[in-house]
This record gives sequence, structure tokens and C-alpha cells, in this order.
Amino acid sequence: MEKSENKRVDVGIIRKISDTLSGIGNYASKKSERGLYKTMQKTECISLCEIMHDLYQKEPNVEKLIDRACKEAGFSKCERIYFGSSFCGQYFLNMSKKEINLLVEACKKQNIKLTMVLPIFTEKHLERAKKKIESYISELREVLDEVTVNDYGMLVYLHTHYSHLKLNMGRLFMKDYRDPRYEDYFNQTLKPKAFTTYLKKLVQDYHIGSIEFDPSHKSIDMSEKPEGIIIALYTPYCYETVGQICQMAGISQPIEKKFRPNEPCQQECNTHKIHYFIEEGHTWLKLGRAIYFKNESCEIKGVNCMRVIYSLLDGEVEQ
Amino acid sequence: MKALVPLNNTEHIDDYIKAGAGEFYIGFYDEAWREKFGDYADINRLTGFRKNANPYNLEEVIKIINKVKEKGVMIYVTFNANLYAEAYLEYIENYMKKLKEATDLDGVIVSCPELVEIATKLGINVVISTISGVYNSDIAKFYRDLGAKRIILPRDLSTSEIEAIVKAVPDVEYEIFMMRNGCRYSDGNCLGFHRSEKSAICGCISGAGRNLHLEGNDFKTRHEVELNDIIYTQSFHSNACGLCSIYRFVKLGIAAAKIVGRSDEWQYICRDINLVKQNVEIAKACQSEEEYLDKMISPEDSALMCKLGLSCYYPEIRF
Repeated sequence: MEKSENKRVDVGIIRKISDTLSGIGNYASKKSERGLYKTMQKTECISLCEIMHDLYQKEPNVEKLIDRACKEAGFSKCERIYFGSSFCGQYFLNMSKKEINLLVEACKKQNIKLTMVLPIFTEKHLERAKKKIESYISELREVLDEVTVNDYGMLVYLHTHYSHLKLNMGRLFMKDYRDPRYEDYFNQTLKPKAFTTYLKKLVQDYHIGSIEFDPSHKSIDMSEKPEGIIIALYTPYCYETVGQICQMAGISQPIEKKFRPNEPCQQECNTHKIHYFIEEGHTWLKLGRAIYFKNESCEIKGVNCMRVIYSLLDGEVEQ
Repeated sequence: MKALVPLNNTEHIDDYIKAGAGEFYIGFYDEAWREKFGDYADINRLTGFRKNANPYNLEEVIKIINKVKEKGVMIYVTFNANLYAEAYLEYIENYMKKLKEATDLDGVIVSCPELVEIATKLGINVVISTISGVYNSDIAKFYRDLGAKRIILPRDLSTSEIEAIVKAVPDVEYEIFMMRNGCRYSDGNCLGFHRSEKSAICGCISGAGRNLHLEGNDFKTRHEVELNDIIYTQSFHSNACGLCSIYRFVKLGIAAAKIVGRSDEWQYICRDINLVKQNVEIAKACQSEEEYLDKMISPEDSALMCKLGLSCYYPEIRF
């Protein structure tokens, strides 16, 4: 599956193959249930987004880190790693070159491809971000073969300036409500609202390869997805809300400077997290600017192949 | 710069106008929509608050629009739910057609490209909602190129970033947040429900039990983190005000300053309209920001509000 994803030039063939595989399959993200869905063809991916530095602090050997992630996720092999951030421009701009180089070396050794995930950059960081993106695309080209964007501006920019690049639509585009406090809503099978005619045209016009989702409901029916699109699911945490104002960045600031939108930080998110006790049955977590709830039982319907993107967030709330 | 006001109480249209309202925005409910699409499908962002936030149906709103236009004041209708499924779009198009046929409304406030296309096709002016998350000039260009006439910039942007966007994409109007109801998260990516049954997730979290996970557990670290958490959850943006920024925004040519609070009491709305109106006049007469900051009228409860920037939309002006 991953090989066919890489050949974006032959979009028509890929779409036919993918659609042939799409259909009646299910995927459940809960580790103990994964074996039940052997018909699902899944590309097993690890996300280091938002937490790469913290993970390196705990396990400096990247190959061991990947092994640990695979064990935790129940994967046989990691085929792709997502790095960067869906939520925070500061995080993306502050990523350590040294840490990325370690990741690249491990990916080369293990034949793992990289997806670079871009957050929405606010105006003051936009040009700096573009330079950083350019350098990553150039320097990491041996392993970096696609980019996930999370806003229309960046989608147009990358499509215009890097026409060879495979693009994904990130989780911030998929704005269906998610709120497990409303049980009747949470227990519904979500049919994503985003699958409109407009989106389908956008996918064609911008050669989108994959669309990323969160495990927002008990189950999600992807049967109305755009033709040829690879569905990717972050697991086991679903993001619920995010903003440009960072609580953690306020820690080291005097009161009158706290909680400014997108101000420079000391990367406090690497070392500070909050675990909330809101409703029984779900773990709630604040990591960086985003709030997540855990949902490891999200069943995916209507496709026979997909990407599973496992985020190692559980370690972030361990005592 | 006009004060843009939520019109949730038609008995007081004249009070709002007398206080200085230059523009109104209004939403509506539709029982047929609810029966067709269910209780969790929104026509606008505040549909979940039912008649508390949207007390009128479409027919009533049409009459209200005509009444407001007779008084020479501008009015917009909100279609700013997080996103709309394909099936919803036909309904929205019919709503817009009725509005276009029966009124001389000034535009619709929309949250996604699908609705921009529908509105522009019908010849209705388009205002891009803050739900669209226009955080940088590339995103602003995207919506301008789609046909937007005005863009509402997110409340979690600094004045310098707003200025940079306005200068980079000058050929649309801009609207900024000015008074009431601050928010710690991004309107565009906060995907928890805002409904009458439960508090929004931000409020829920503020009162929730929590474990703070820190790198160090020494007294100083814990004290800083816990104090930061207390200030963030109990004092930050429990109310919000941007009056100190008015001089800057008037000079920048911002078209409208938004007063939020569709479910708030009319007397408080009128008070805030009046403050904005008076301060805009003061700003126009001042030669410098220093002069304006010296002469401006502070909010009534400034003894509490104007402390340490915690209630400021744009704290960088004073702090």
C-alpha cells in the first residue's frame, strides 16, 4: 500500500487501486481489538508530533524508541513517521536539527518514510516557517516524501511552490464536533461532514493524497470519502480544542506577560502536562496548546485500507 | 470603525442604535432543519443554545432585517457552524435565496469555502467568520480570492499581526474582536460543543480535578506551575476588552469592532457599544496613541478589568 501511495504521478491508477480496496472493512483502534480486523490493510505509522524532544529525553536511541512505539501500538513494523506539529508554530520552529537528523538516520536504516506535519502559522512566523519548510524539504528529501498541511493558505503555497510534493489534509481541516461528554452524540457513527463536493474538487485540484482524522466517535463511516484518498487516523487520542494561547508558555512569564497569543516560549510543553478528571470513561490531557481525550475504541467503517498514526501520548500522563 | 453588535433582542433595536451600534449580526433557528438533520446539526455557531442565542426564525429575521435597514443600519446573517455536510448546503442555499429575495441585507457571515461559493453565486456579500481561522496573510488571500468582502480576524492574534495581515492583503475589509466573552482557545478549532446542556469544554476543565505533570517536583517549580494554572483558569479572559487598542485599529482602517455575546443582557451590550463608539470618536481626534490612551474612557469595572492584562484582548498595548 505504501509503495502505491508514493507514486503520486499516477494518481488515476492509485485511486482505482485504493477504491478497489475501499469497501466493507473495519478498523478498531483499541489494541486488544486490532486482531479482529484482519481484512483491514493498514499502513502502520508513528507520530512524534508535539512530543519528539520529550521522547528523546526518555529514550535517546531513536531505533529503540521506534521499537517501543511499535510494541505499544501493537504494530508489526513502523512504515512511516509523522513529525512536526499539528497545533503549534513555536514547536515546529523550535524543533532541534540534531534531533531531526537522528530521526532521519534511523528512518534510512529501517526504510521508514517521513511525513512533515505543519501547524497553522500566525502572520509573524509565516515567512520564517516557509524558510524552515524549504530547508527540511531539501535536506530530508531521502526520507521525507510528503507534507501534511492544516490550513488553506499553506495548501495553496506548497502546491504552488513544490508541485512535486505529496500533500495531506491535516486533522485541523476535519471540524466535526467531538465531545464524549455528550454520550448519545459520541456513540453515533460519524459520517464526516467534510466530504463535500467542494472538498472532492479540492482533493483533485491540489493532488491531496491523504486526509487525517481524529478518533472523535465510537465509530466513523468513511465510505463517502473522496475517490482515491487514503484515510489516516490518529490514535489513541482525539484532539478536542486548541488555540494560539499557551497555558504552559505562561509558566515562566510574569503575570502581565502571561498567555499572549503565540509568544516565544521556553518549550515548557516538553516537561509540563495536565491530566484532567472530567468524565468517567475518558482520559483528558492537555499537552502544549491542545486538549485531547482518549478514545482507543474508534471503529473505522467503509474502507479496507487506511493509515493508523499512533501517538505516544500515554507516556505523557504516566505517573 | 463601526461597532458590530449581536441582535438578539428586537425590542431594543433603537437602544442599540442610540448607544452607537453601526452594524448588527443575527442568526436564526429553523425547526425544519432540526427535524431533518437532528439536534447536533448547527445553522450557526450558537445553534446549540437554541432560542437563548437565536430567538427568531427565518421569517422573523427577514422582518427584522427590513426594519433595521429602514433605520439605515447595516446587518449581517450568520452561517458560521464549524462545517456543513453536503446535505446541509442545499438548505443553506435556500435560506440565502430567501434572504436575498426578501431583504437588502449587507452580507452573510460564513465559516467555510462551500458557503463562500454559494453566497457569491447568489450575489450576496461574504464575511469570513472567525471560525475560518484567518491567522495569516496567505489564508486571507485564499478567502479574498474566493470572493470575500470582509474577514473577521481571530481574537487570538496580536495587534502587530493584525496590522501585518491588513497591510499584506489590503483589498478586503477587516473586523476585529473588541468586547465581552474572551476565549482561551481558537474559535476555528475548538470542536467541543457550545450548547445549553453542559458548559463548554474550557469551562468544564477550569473546574475539573487535575494532575499536573512536572519535570521537577521541587517547591519552586510546583508553585510556579500551580499558580500559573490558577491564574489561567480563574482570572484569564473571564471577560475581555480591547478598548485600549482602538486608536491603533482606527488608524489601520479596520471596518468593524465586534461586540460578542448573543445570549447576553441588552443593557450590558448597550453599555459596551457606547464605550466603543465614544472611544472611536476620541481616537479619531487624537494625534498619537499616547494621547488616546490618556484620554480614552475605561470600562466601568476597570478596577477589576484593567489589571495585569488578564482581561485584555490586546494586552500588548498597555503591558
